[in-house]
Parts: sequence; C-alpha cells; structure tokens
Amino acid sequence: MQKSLDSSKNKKIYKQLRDQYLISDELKWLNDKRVEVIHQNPFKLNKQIMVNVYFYGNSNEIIKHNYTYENWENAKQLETEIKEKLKTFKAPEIYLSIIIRFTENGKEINIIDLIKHGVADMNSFLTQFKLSTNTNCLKCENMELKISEKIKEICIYELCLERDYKYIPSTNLLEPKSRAKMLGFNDNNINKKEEKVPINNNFFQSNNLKDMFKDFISCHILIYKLQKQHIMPTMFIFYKDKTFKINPFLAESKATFYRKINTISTQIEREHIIGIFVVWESYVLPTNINFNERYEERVKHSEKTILCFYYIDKNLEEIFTFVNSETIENDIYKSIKESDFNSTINPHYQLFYSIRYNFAKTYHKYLNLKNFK
Amino acid sequence: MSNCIMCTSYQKFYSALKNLSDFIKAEEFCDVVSSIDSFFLNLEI
Repeated sequence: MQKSLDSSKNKKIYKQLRDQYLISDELKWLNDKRVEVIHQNPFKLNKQIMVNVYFYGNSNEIIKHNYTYENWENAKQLETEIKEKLKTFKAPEIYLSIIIRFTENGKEINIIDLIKHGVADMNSFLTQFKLSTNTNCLKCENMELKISEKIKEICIYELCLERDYKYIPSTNLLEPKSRAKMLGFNDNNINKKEEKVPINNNFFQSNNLKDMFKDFISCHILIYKLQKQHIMPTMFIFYKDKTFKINPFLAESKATFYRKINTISTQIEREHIIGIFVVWESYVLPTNINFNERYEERVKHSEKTILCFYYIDKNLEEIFTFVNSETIENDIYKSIKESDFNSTINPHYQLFYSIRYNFAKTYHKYLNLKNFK
Repeated sequence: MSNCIMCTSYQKFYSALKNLSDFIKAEEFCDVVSSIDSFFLNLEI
C-alpha cells in the first residue's frame, strides 16, 4: 500500500496508523511464521494432545503426547490408548476433556489468540485508513464482507481445540458435550479490545478487589432474580494492569467447568492475574449421599439449589458466598470462612485447587507446595 | 470498475486470511478431536 500512496497527507495517515496497529507482537509473530514458511524452514510448531480425567477434588492428566508435523500420523493411535485407560477407572461416571495445545521451542503458545489479535490489528488498520482517507469503493466494500466471513470462520476453529465428554461405564455410553464460544464481534471487526476492560468503570464502586466482589455478587443476584432461575457460570479475571475480563461459559457438563478452572489456573503466572471471581449455580446434596450413584441419580436427592460465589486473590485470600435460591430476597452476603467448612463447601473448595495452587506458585514462592491443599 | 488505493491491500489481506484458514484445516487442528468423537460414538469397552 505504501508504494501506491500519491499524496503526502495519505502517507502521513499511513505512518500514524501503521505505528498504531501494525507493530504488535502478534503481527510480528504472524509475519515471522510467514517468512519461515516461505523459506521452507522446518516447521517448529508442535502440537500437544492431552486427555484430562476429572474426579471429585482433582483432575488427572492421563495422556499427554507431543506431536510434530512429521509424526502427526501417530496421533491416530490415540483412540486405542484412551480406550485402554478408561477401562481402568471405577466410577459411576467419568468426566474427561481432550485438549490440543501448541508449543513453540518448548513454550506453550496460544495460537488462536495470536491469529485473532494479529488479524484484528490488520483489519482495524485497513478500516481506519479507509475512514481517514475517505476512500469510497464498492470493490473494497465487497471485499470487507468476504474478509469478515473468513475471520469468523478462523475464530470458530478455536472450538475444535477442546472437547468435553462424559463416559458412563455401566451403559458404555460416552456423550460428547456441546461446544459454545463467545465471539467478540463488533459489526465486521473482531473487537479484541472488548475482552479486557479497565476496572475503573461504572460497574464497580471501588478499586478494592473485596469491595468489587460485593458488586459482583449484587449484580449476579439481580440477574438471577430477573431471570427467576439459572445463571450462566461466569468468571471475572483481574489483571495486574488494572483491567479485567468477563468469561461466561456454557457448562453443559461438569467436565467443562473443571476444564475452565484448570485452563485459567495455567494463565495466572503468564498473564499476571491477581484475582478471580466465579459465580455458578449448584445443587445442595444431603451429607449421607451415595457417591457410587450416578450424578443424575444423586441430584434427585437435592434439597435445594444455591447460587455460589467464589473469590480468590494473589494473597491466597478466599471467600465462598452461598445464597439460597429459595430465600434469595433475604439471604445476601453470607460469607463463610474456612472454619465453617462443611459438606456444602468442601466439594467447592476442592474444585478450585488448581487456581489456589497456581496463585501460591506464582506469588508465594517460599511456600512448600509439596503438600499444598 | 477501476482500482482504488486500497483495493490491492484488501485483496492481499483476504488472500492471506484464506491461506491462513486453509493452513489451519491442512494442519488438522480438528482432525484428532473429530475422529475421537466418531470413535466414542461407536465405543465398545
């Protein structure tokens, strides 16, 4: 484009927008990959396939394999291996996820994020240049529509990298669970900046995480009351740079919930996460429940449902707040401390082990993590 | 219809996206998961 610009005004606009949009790390990565491929260098991007099985209180990675471009064909043998491993578990149901990750030079990279952000930067550059130069061209408008479709197509691939399942040994049934993804599209663009929001906004009354947690609770109780029932599990993730991200997800299966918790825990160190809030809805089961029964049978004994809120920060401070969905009008802000632990809290406490562990590993390096609970 | 100063850039960006999409498909991002899906549907343990 630079070579085709005829006026000094357009050249100036080009330079301004280039410096604003085209010098990101993501675009540099995309450009480096392009150069590597053009020069037919060996492909250094490796795939890692993991099979995680989740149990009460923990998750086990039962399979982890690395594949390169050359040995990718071996991945087809994975089916047999999963079959053999599943045979060894004794449980009324088994929740598992199959996850594909990418590594480059031994380091995990989020390839979809790199692509998404790089493409969004380039798209913003072209859109802004068009607006700034008052370019009005039917051919370009048609091309914009085609580009928008292609971007959506690429973003959808993210769904293929993670899949959750529930396996019932007694009936020999394995159900792949449905997949859903929130896509941040704004008209024809990917609005990647929408993902992280400054904490200084009208939603929160204060910059203090614990006060913000109260706002988080109030907001979700209100949504819950308005909807009468059912709330989408949602995480608010807070970063060191005073921004936060809202991460709602469709949890059709327990495996999805466990996977989301595990995924976010692995991002704590890399992305400088300083606090996490979670809201979800849960059944309350009697203390004498038989865990050999299948989940569908167990929940039939449920006395009530509760709205659950979880808070953790980098100082390892944790708050669980449970609100009885039947008495939601009167039962607000009932925080429960560690000393009050009972059968309601324990499963939830175990649920967040990986988050607790990774906060400790990142911000409390002096702690002995060998017997960490 | 003649080309404007942005036509080539839009065309090149679209081609790059198309290549990227083809690359992702060719790289079998989804193949293992989809083959495991079909495997599970016919599972006999």
